[in-house]
Amino acid sequence: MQRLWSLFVRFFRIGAFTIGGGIVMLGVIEAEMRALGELSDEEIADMIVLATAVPGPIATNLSFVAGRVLAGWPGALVSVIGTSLAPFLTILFLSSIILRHLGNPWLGSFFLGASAGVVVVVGNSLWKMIRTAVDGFPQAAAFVTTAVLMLGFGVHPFIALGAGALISIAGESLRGSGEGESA
Amino acid sequence: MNIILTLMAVFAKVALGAFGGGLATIPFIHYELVVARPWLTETMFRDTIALAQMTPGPIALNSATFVGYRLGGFWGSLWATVALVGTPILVISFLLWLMSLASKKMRSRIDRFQKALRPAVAGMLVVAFWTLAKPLIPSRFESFRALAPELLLLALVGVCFVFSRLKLFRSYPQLIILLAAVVGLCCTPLLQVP
Repeated sequence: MQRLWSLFVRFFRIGAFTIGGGIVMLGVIEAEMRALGELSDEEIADMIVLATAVPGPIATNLSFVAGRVLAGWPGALVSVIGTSLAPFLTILFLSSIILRHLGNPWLGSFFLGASAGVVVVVGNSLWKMIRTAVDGFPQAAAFVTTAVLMLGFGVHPFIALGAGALISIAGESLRGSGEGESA
Repeated sequence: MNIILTLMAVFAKVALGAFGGGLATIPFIHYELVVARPWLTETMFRDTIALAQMTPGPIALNSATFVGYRLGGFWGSLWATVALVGTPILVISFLLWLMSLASKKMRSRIDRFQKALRPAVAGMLVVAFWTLAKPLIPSRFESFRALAPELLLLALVGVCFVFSRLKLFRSYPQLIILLAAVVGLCCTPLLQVP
């Protein structure tokens, strides 16, 4: 019981005070797991692989996996709730305020200004991702396919993502078998 | 009750598409909430994303809570969030079970799968970028007066970009968004469309 509570508090703190989105939370949770000293580096690496490969918010996924490893299914549940609780309550509180002031020009300009910042943040993230992930022909093809399918043809994001993934995976395995043959 | 169930279904879908984390969910949220069903206007969508990024917590989670509240009150926000967080957990649980059966092979397979997905995720980010940037581009030239708010915003984007290169803001992009929001707030009279 004590164990579960301390787990909950640990993840609540992470959820409440980690600003910077998924990747940052990943680093913070990883650091906390190392600090705990109960998990081997390999176990931590496995957890991260699992949490990032699966769709969904990395922070809650990772909390779930870490909690599971540390304290079974109850631990998993408690960790996820811990991570989600502070953001949930914060947004709930802000939502009720925002909804009451919907037509307000000040609020509108506040968000309009924010959207300028968001464009920059997304742009930077995009650039970083392109530089690291698009490093070959199949990757470029996958990248372009996904973008064009959505922007040009308005397909459902699932289909666009799936098509790009197929191309990328196919390219990877072709490259793999090609190297195998020449070796 | 109906709205709650629909909210859960929609955010379960958003959760399942959210490969590659936070920002890549933006096109999914946009498609499900603006394109596929008229739940949010483009403006509301823009505000949702901005709010979700400014506050602690994953962007998808915050969006679910906010949109859920907007459309279904407290219970809407709760169940939308539960659907968003819970659906991937089901997938993880399944994978954990698979891994317990054949762990090492499974692990490297999952890792390779995730890496292979990244170019497609980059494609998603392009879509996210375009969805957010397009409204900021001036569409018609009516008069300088009418154009002033749009030019101001573009200037703000430029300033934000310059600032984002600085070390401090690299670690905390939320700060840029917050500061840009404050600038917007201060420029309220200028940003009103005449």
